[in-house]
Amino acid sequence: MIPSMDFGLMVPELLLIAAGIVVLLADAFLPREAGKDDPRGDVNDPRGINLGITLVGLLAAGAFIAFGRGDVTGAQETFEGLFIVDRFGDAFKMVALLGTILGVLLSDGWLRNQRLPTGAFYALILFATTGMLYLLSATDMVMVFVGLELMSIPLYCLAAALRWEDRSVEAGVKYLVLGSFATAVMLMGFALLYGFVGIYTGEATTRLDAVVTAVNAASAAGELPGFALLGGVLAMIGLLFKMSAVPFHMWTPDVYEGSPTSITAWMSVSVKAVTAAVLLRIFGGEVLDALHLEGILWVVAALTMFLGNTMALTQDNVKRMLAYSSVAHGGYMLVGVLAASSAGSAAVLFYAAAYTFGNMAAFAVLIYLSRVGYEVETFDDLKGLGTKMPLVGAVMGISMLSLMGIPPLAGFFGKFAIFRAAVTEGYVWLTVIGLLTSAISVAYYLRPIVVMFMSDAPAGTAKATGQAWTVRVALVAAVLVTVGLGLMPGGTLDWALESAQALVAGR
Amino acid sequence: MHAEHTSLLAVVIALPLLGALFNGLTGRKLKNDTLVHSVALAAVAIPAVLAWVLFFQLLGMDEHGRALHQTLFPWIHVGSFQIDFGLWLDPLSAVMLLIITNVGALIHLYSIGYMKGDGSYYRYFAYLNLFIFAMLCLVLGDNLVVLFLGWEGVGLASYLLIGFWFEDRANAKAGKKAFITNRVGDFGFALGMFALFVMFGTLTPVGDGGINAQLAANAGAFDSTWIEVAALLLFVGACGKSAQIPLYVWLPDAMAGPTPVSALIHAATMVTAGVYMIARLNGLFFAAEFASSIILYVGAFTALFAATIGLVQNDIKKVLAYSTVSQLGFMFTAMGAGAYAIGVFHLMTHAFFKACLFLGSGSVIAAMHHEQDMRYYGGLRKFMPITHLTFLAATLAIAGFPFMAGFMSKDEILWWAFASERGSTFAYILVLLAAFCTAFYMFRIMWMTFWGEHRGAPEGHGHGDEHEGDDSHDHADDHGHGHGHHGDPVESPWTMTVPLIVLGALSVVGGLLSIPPIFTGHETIHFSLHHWLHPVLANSEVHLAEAYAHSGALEWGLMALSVSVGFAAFLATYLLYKGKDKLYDIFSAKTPGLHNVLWNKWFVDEIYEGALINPLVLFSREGLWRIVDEVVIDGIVNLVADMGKITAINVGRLHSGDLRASAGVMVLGLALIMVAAVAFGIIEVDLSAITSLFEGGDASDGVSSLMGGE
Repeated sequence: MIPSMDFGLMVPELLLIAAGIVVLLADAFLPREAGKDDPRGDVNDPRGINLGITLVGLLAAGAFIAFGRGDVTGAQETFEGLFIVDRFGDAFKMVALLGTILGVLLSDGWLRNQRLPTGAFYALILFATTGMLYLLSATDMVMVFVGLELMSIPLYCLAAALRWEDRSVEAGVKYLVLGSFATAVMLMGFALLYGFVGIYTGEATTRLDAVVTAVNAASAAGELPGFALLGGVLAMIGLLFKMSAVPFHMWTPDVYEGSPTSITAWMSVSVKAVTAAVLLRIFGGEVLDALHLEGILWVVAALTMFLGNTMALTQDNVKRMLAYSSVAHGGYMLVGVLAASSAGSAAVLFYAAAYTFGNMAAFAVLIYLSRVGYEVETFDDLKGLGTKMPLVGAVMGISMLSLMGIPPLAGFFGKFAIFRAAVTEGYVWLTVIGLLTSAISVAYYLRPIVVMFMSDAPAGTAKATGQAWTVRVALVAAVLVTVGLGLMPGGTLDWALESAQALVAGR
Repeated sequence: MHAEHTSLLAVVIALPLLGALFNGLTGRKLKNDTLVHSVALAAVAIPAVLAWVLFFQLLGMDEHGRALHQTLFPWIHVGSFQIDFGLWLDPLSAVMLLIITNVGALIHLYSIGYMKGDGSYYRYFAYLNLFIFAMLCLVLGDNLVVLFLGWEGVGLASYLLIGFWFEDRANAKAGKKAFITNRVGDFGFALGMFALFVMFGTLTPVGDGGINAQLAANAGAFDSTWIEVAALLLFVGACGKSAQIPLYVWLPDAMAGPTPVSALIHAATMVTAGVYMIARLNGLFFAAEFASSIILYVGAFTALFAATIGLVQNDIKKVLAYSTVSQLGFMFTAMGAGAYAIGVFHLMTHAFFKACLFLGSGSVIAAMHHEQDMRYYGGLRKFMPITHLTFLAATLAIAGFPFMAGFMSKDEILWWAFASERGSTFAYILVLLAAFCTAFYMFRIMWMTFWGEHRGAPEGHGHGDEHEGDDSHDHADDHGHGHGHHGDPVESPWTMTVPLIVLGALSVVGGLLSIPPIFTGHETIHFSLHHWLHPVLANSEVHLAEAYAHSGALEWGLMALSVSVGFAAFLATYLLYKGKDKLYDIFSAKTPGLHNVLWNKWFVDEIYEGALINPLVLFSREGLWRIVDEVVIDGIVNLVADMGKITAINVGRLHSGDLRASAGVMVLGLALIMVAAVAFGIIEVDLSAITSLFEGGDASDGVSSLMGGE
């Protein structure tokens, strides 16, 4: 039988793949400018052709999702149910694409500073994004695996993009080794679940809905075998690794610190958003209870919020601080995953969006302040810059306040939505832990503000100048959306709720 | 009542806001005083004209359906709490609208002359426009939340204007005092709103399903205790804004602001907000009998109390300030007696004559080079004939000279305090005495300021010097130099005298808008304020008819009594002050004890200072700050911080960056989860299966049974 293949549903993914291939091919023919006496090599792609192609591809994919889906409201399946298009997935795809666009804009500035070849870099970003989009449409364990790897492998390479710097290579290797380990664990889980479905129903399938149905049925009948439970745990751990949930977060600080700053920014937001969505799609609803994963996820979420926030306290490197902060934010999203009601799922979506823009703004400031041969990394590097450059300082301040969850900024409504959903679903203690750890987070989020505005710049500190327009655009866009989402959260919250209802209705 | 839609109301409130924004944002840069005051005046004058258009539109409507409505935008929609930014014009709010925009426009015009050459000209007009906007929100809001927005807005504008010359510390302090005292009242107001929402499920007083309509339909359906509580809480708010005992202390100090501000905000409009609020919620206050009696006595006591203080003050604005507190007391007496229309009537006539008095005093103060001490005035009639005549008209009005505006409204209040079933003889005596004091202090001003011989400031006195006992003296350094130091006082320019003439004329004839029934023989006549307000107040006026059952002779008699009280006061001042220029402090010579008490305003400020403020400051500093904050709260915060730090340092050792350690932690985590799963019985391990595994047999059986199901 020939499977039904509706490529029309896959246009955004295909656009990204096409853009990636075009970038790779075009790169070979682009003119180069010889870097005079510069050990870092030639100026690659001085006209920004690769950047242009990449942005066009991302924008086209986003535009298609936003406007090209037609009037269909329900979920659409193709490739024998391997690939699904629904409002839930589309919503997260939009968030991931927006994060990627900001990441690409920031990468442009970073790449210019580092004189790195852009072709491969952008192509890898595009392929990883394709993986994200496939993950968000995956309804089959095999598809989840393929999507996850398609997302992860380019990320391993991107982490090591500064290949002459030990830290960057170390980041890439660590990410690769530990990531492979987590993938293996997840695969083991999938295999056990596959085996269970085959034994229990007599029909071996990797489809997620079949797995969920079988697990629920077996659990209701009290016939769920231990190895199926084990499979559930292992499968979830693979995804928790990508969320950098405690205790599977060990890679995060090293990788985030060593990777190119723009890639760190992008990984910390988009990968988290996508993984949270996949967790919701697979484990949201009663299957979480049937597999007895609720208690585990509860403990993991609590630990993640607590350790992420406390560990961030003692960091002197801003990137490392933001890495631990991102661990903590993953914990908040896990709270939303636990409260997998439509309100909870919508909260995760809104939170992911708010976090994407708030965090991007912070990283944008770091990249904005960096220049050739000088990366802003530690708190000392930020000293007095707020008084020298009040607007940049204000952006940093707004971003930190949003990450803290101070109204009226986007982060506040994200946290509010998550905690409200959690309380509604009865997770009162987890909410209390979340609030207390949020209070802890204030201490380290205030540090950049204090350093930037309340200490004197060392002598000879100059205003940052000559930043690429792309960095400026990303900086302004991220902060505007952070403020805008906070002042007018209504429309986006409604949109998130509608998208989440599509997921819950499909369960 | 089904209200018709209108679009004009939005324009009416938008223009002052736009004026405030324009002057506030561009005034500093443009540096064009003519443009500033033109814009500011237009932003009030156009709404004043529109107010008349709207008034005639209302007039043309059926008497019982007189209401215009406009919803600007949905404001707060949370569950069953639905608040729209809606505007509502009915006969009651129309009266307020006309007063605010028209008197407001006159005072804007007056300010052009008064504030000439001030360094912050644009700022003054921006604040004044902002005030008009907030006041219009207050009276036009179709629900209590919009009303409250305006209520707080006028508080803000008042604060800004009282402290307008903030370079002088005393002025800034006066602004703070007004703001903080009002917070106490606003707290009560907010609680009152909560109570109303719980009881009625709405915060809209007007229209079908509004609070008044619900009470009119079935007052018995609501818990009377809660009605009393809500009414009292709202009255606490009114006490703050309308300067009643015990929250009146801010108003006399508020005279630190420019004099036109005193006229507009602290006499004619903002301070009457409490009276308006009670009239707006007349259904509620009508149902709250106990609260009404409290209002009656608070009003009556305030009327007398403030009037006695006014007897001895030498600062002309201070006298007028206490007079305002006292007159507001009269209004609340009317509200407490259930005479809502009369209270609003007095609100209106008071707006005319008190604005006239304040503007007149401003005219005098400007002519006297910002000297506010009446002991240095005298004989100004010769120099300032227009100011004198208009001031005299307003004085006669407030003193209750027959058929002047104040006579009509005040005599009605006295009559209601006596005759209404909610009034009492005691309350009547209080307000009658207050009426005597009112006439006395007003004629005292006339003698000391306009009549007799001109005394003038002694050598070395005047500009910028400290005056004893005068803590709200005006901004001499900032403002007074334009007027010259020497020579006789001169009449003010036309921008200041035209408003005086208009308001003086209204003080004479304004009372004819509601001629008391005793003169006409009819309970209401067709073109009277009483009749105009009837549709709004109809449900709360039932029992008032009973008051008319008293004999006409009694009412004539009481009227004669109050008129003769006024004449007696005039006579007393004539005997005391005529031709005896140095006897203005007759009290201090004859009765030093009483004078001392009155001069020091019954020592209320000192009592508040000693009984409330100092203990509060002490408790805040020693208790809240040194113990609660520094020890308890900081201690908890530091403890949490230390715990976080210790955790981070210890856990941080695990994060050595070593790849094997990282993988090890992951495996450890996985293992812990497995152990926990077994320990909590989620996964059962059948040990016999393990042994069977080693004993041979089918291995696959062994594995599948190893992980036995639930």
